[in-house]
Parts: sequence; C-alpha cells; structure tokens
Amino acid sequence: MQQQRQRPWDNLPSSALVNIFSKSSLKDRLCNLPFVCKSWANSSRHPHCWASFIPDSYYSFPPPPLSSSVVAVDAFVKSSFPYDAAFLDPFDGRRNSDPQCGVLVLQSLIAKAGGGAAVTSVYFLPFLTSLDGPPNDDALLSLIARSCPNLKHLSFHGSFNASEEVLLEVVRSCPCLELVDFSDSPYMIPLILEKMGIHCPSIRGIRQNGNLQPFCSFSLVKCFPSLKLLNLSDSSIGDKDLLTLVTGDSRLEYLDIMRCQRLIRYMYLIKGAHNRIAEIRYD
Amino acid sequence: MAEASSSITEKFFLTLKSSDGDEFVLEESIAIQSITIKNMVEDGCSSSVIPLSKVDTETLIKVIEYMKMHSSTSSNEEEIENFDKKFVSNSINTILNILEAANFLDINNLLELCAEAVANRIKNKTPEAVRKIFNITSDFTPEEEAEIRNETPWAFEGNLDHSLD
Repeated sequence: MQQQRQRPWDNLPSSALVNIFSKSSLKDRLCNLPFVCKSWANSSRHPHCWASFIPDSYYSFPPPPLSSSVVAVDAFVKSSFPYDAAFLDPFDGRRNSDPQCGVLVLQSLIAKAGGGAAVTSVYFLPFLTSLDGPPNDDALLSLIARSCPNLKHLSFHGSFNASEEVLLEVVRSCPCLELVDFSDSPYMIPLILEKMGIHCPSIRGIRQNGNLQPFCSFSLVKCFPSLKLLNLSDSSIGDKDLLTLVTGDSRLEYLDIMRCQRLIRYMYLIKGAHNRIAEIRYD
Repeated sequence: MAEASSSITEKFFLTLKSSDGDEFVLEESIAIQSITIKNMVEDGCSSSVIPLSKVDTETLIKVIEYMKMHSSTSSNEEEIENFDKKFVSNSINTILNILEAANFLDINNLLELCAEAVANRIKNKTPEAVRKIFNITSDFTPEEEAEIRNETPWAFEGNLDHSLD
C-alpha cells in the first residue's frame, strides 16, 4: 500500500462541511467545530447546520445506523438505557440561573436555522427548562408552537410544568409531528393523545418511560392507528395494557418493554405477539 | 481494471478518466447515480472519455465500487448495509477523499454516508484534536475566537448543576 498522503484538509467545499456539521451533536456544533479554523466557522453559520436539534446519542452504541437516515431518526424514540442514553446534555451540565435564558437559547437556535419553519427536531427541552426560577416550560413550548410549524420530532423528556393549554397549542400548531418522547413527563394523558391523534396524523413513534396512566394503551391504539414504534421501557405498564397493545387493531412494528416491573405474564403475551410485531425488546 | 470499450453495443457504457490518467469503463445506468455525470450524458458530452480531473485513481475505484453496489439491479438491502458499514471503516483520509469526490460528482447517498462517518470521527473532540485529524492549522487570532464565542454566549455560560443527573 502506498503511504497515506497527509494533505491538509483546510479547503473542503463549504457544502460538504455543512453536511458534516448538520450530522454533528449540538455541543460539537456550538463549542468545537466553529473553532477549528475560519472556513469551518463560516460554514457553521449556514442555516442547514441548525435545522435539526437531534440527540447526538444517535452516533454512539448501538453501532451507528449508517445508510438509512430513517433508521437514524427512529433512534430518537428507540434509544433505551443502558445501551444508549436518551439524550446527551449539550451544555455539559452547565445551567444558567436566569429563567429567561432557556427561551433566549431556543430563540437563538431558531434564528441560526434561518427561522422556525426549517426546524425539524427539538429534543433538548429539559436542558432549557428553569430549575430555580419560575417555570418556563410554557414559554418554551409556546415559542415552539408559534415558530416551528414543520416540526417532526419533539421531546418533552423531563418537562413537567407545562399547562394543558400550551400542550394543546403545540399539538395544533405542529401537524407534521412523527416522533414524540413523553418520558418522565406527566403529559401522556388521554386528552392530549386524543387531540394529537386528530391534529398530527403522521405520528408513528412514541416513547414514554416512567409512570403510565392505567389503560393508556386504549388511547394509544385508538388515537394512533398507524403507530409503529412504541418504547415503554422502564415504565409502569401492566399485563392488561400490554395485551391491548399486541392484539386488536395494533399496527406496531417495534415495541420496547425492557425493565417494566409490573409485567408478570408478559412472556406468554409476547409469545403470541411475535408473529404480529417484528421486533419486541424485553427482558 | 478496464481497457477500451469500443465494441460493446448491448448496453451503454461510459469511460471515466481519473486525475492520474487511468480509464474506467462503467455502465451508464450505474454511472448516472452521479448527477454531474448524468447532466453530462444528457447534454451529450459523454460520447468520448469523461475526464474527472478532481478525482484520483484510488478514490475513483472506491466511488465506482460504491455505485456498483448501490445500483438498483444488483444488490439486496442487507448486502448494501454491510458494504456501507465496511466502507466507512476506511481511513479518515480515504473517506475525506471520497467525500470530496462525492461532492464534486453529486452522488447524494455517498455524500451523506461520508459526512455521517466524518461527523462520527470528530464527535466530542476539541478543536485542537479535530485540527490534528484534518491536518489544519488554526488561522484565528484570539480576538476572532472570542467573536465566535460571542455569537452564542449562552453555550459557554452557566453553572454546573447536578440535579438532573
């Protein structure tokens, strides 16, 4: 083999750099890549780099899904501890004590994307919510509802102060939603699911770890007839709910029920469901 | 790898010439995954040899391998997936060469694949470490670096908080 040429890669075309940056983590886009050299800094200002604020955990274990962007996006709801963190903190645990700061950050990111119409994914809501001051969940979600009509992927993960009114505003304003993460939030209630089913016909994946309302599965099956991905790992789902999910009108193709302590006769249910649901993750 | 292609008549073939002067004969239906080549074909510029002055032989071989694997007729999904996985395990220099070629040839899938591979290799690395990988020297003054910081000051402010852990 000939020796690798160590040519300097300082003149990659901007379009190629923009493509690379758009697949990088939010933290890398903010804190690392623009500081490499001037041409990288310039490319990092391109709106295309900022359209998607996806979790960077896509690129960790399990091995990165390389050829299919659909597979990569699905990791948004599929990712499940311990194999894959649900999301990584883009700010490395640094929090600003000013409750306004989260809203300013979101505004700034939307501006970087060239306006909310370009924004397709927002996952880091919990990192913008206020910890000490008055809750800002409503202000953040309201900003999303007003600015991001084309949003496809939204995570409520860890948010718990939003009002029903603002949640419904989001549901009405974002009709393109496909994947939603309700984990560790109290928002997955029949009313929200019902409105979501009406206003967001493209919903195909839902994730909820944590407390589930009893019989939530009826709402899921009824409101989202085309639901394909469901991640309920570490949740309080019980046998009856599981039964509803794997029978009847369910079109599920992927179901994650890892570490659900209340499941008792699930092995029996799963055995019967295997010919209907292509992939079931359980332990 | 390939010689002249004058006597083949059943299918249309194109001859691609690398910057090192090596010629490669490829079915037109495979080669037009490159939008750049497709446009040349449609404009009638492809009757003789297509010179690709920006793509060296080593890179062109890889690009052709990729296009053959991804042409609609030959391979199944699993084969393609395995091929892609192996493809991105090439050295970073090879991948950057291919990325540049894919950008020039306008082969979208290949460009996406390489961009993702590169993003993966520089994930969570300091600017200094990225410069080393890319063999780039910083051309910033401290003032210019501070200016970039000022574009998103909130990304560098705030106190450590462990209550979300």
